[in-house]
Amino acid sequence: MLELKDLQKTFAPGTVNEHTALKNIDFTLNDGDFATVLGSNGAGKSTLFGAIAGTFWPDAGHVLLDGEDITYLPEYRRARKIGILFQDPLKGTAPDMTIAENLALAYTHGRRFPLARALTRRDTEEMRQKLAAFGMGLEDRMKMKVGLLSGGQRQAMTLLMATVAQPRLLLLDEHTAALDPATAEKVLAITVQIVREQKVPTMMITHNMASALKLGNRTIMMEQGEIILDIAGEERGRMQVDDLLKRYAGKQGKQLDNDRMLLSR
Amino acid sequence: MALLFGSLQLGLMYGLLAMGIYISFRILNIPDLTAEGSFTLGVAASAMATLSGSPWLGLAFAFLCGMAAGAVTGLLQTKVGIHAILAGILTMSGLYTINLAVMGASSNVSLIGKPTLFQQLFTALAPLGKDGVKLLVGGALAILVLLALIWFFKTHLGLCIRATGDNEAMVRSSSINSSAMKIAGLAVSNGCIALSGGIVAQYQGYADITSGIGILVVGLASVIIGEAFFGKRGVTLGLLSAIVGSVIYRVIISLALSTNVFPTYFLKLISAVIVAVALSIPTVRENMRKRRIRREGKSHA
Repeated sequence: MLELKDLQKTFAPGTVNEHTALKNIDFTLNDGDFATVLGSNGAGKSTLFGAIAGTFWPDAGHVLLDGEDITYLPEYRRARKIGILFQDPLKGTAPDMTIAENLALAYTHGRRFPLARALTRRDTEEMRQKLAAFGMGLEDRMKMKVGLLSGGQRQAMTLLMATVAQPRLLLLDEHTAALDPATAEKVLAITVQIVREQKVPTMMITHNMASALKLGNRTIMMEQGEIILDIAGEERGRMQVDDLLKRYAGKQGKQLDNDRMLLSR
Repeated sequence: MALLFGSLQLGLMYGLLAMGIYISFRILNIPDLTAEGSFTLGVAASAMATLSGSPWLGLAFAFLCGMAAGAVTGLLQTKVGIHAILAGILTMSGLYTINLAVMGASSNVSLIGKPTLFQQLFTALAPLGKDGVKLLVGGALAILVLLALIWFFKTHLGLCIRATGDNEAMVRSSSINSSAMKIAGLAVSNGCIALSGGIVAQYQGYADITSGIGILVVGLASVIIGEAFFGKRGVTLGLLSAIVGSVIYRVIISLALSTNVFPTYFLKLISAVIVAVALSIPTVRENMRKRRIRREGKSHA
């Protein structure tokens, strides 16, 4: 369970570039929740993820994961509990290392003595099976350098690496946005499958309103550093994109004018 | 023949230096200038231990002192946030004093007539002859360290260090402590560099405070020459190619000097030119390719 308590963040305070990215965010993500996050550029979606993952410290407020206050925990210390994926597929894997070596980084981390062999035959076999489940043919190319793979393949690997240690929270920051539609579909399917199997609480940023309403069990919408809509349950089940736009207009007193979100309907 | 033999002996001993440079420049992707100080530190530590009658322990001291020096640079980079190049320069500069202190405030220590490990082995392995022993020591040490490093970079810690050099953004958002990995990597790198200094000191029979000057370029030249032959491939081959590069570098240098065209003091200039030329090859190639395209484009216009 993730609890955000009165989270605040202002970038460049006291300058002309002052920007309030998070305004008093109070939010709870329950176990079993798969929340999709909508919002236009600069709404604070990625900043919210940054505060949770520990890229920076919030100005005020607290981040609690399973009851433990992790607000000021160093990034690498909370990373084992939080899996995170970014839009850029190059961010999650080491290009000059092989598929097997990359997976080994995530696979054996913290479970073994640092000077133990990173890749045992048994690990390799387990990884091979997990990769085979992706249906991308990666399992036959374990000794290939990751830099030679496509963006979709790298993103699928990153997903496996982020979830193999059974994290307590999964953050997906538009992780399929840089992929071609067919690959994006596939990576999304793998994502849904992993989330379902591991029952890991998940937040996924997307700009596609239709898939935001279709995937998961909860949709939140951010604007100017605030969560303005939080839709779940029966209401969400019946909701279409047009209803969402009406809810937005009703709440904000204006029409949504984000091309990227509107065009991807 | 004598020329080749000498080059092989020196090349293997300086091969440790080349592997150290390979670790910092290629694996960690950090331009680490500590080498100039840590090499001399290895020279000094090994020489002083030899003077007190423990040449073998001297090698161990050299390695450990080098690791400490590398760790200092790593700490300056990660915990204090000093730019990588400046951090190396600071350590190198500070080491000058420390090296003098190790050598008893004298800039030169002679080991002539002292029981260096070579002297010990000359008597123990008399049938091999002096050159044979020198070759054996250099080769054994290079192979030993090579195997140890190959193993190390396949362990979990080694993998984490490689990942830090390969994609730091990824490591920072993972559960690996990237600062610790940089410190560990720089420590291993400078340990090898100092070990190289340690064996070279006993080989040449003296320690000099200026031993480390230009040593970075020597190591870099070896790495680049090795890559010219082996290409840029995995870590295992990369480490091996650093040693081979070091031997080839010594052959080139001794050939250049034996022609009597260059006096001995030209050594550093030749090394610098080799590195500069080798590093400029990709850009020159790219420019030539562009020029060709433009010429062909114009002729079709």
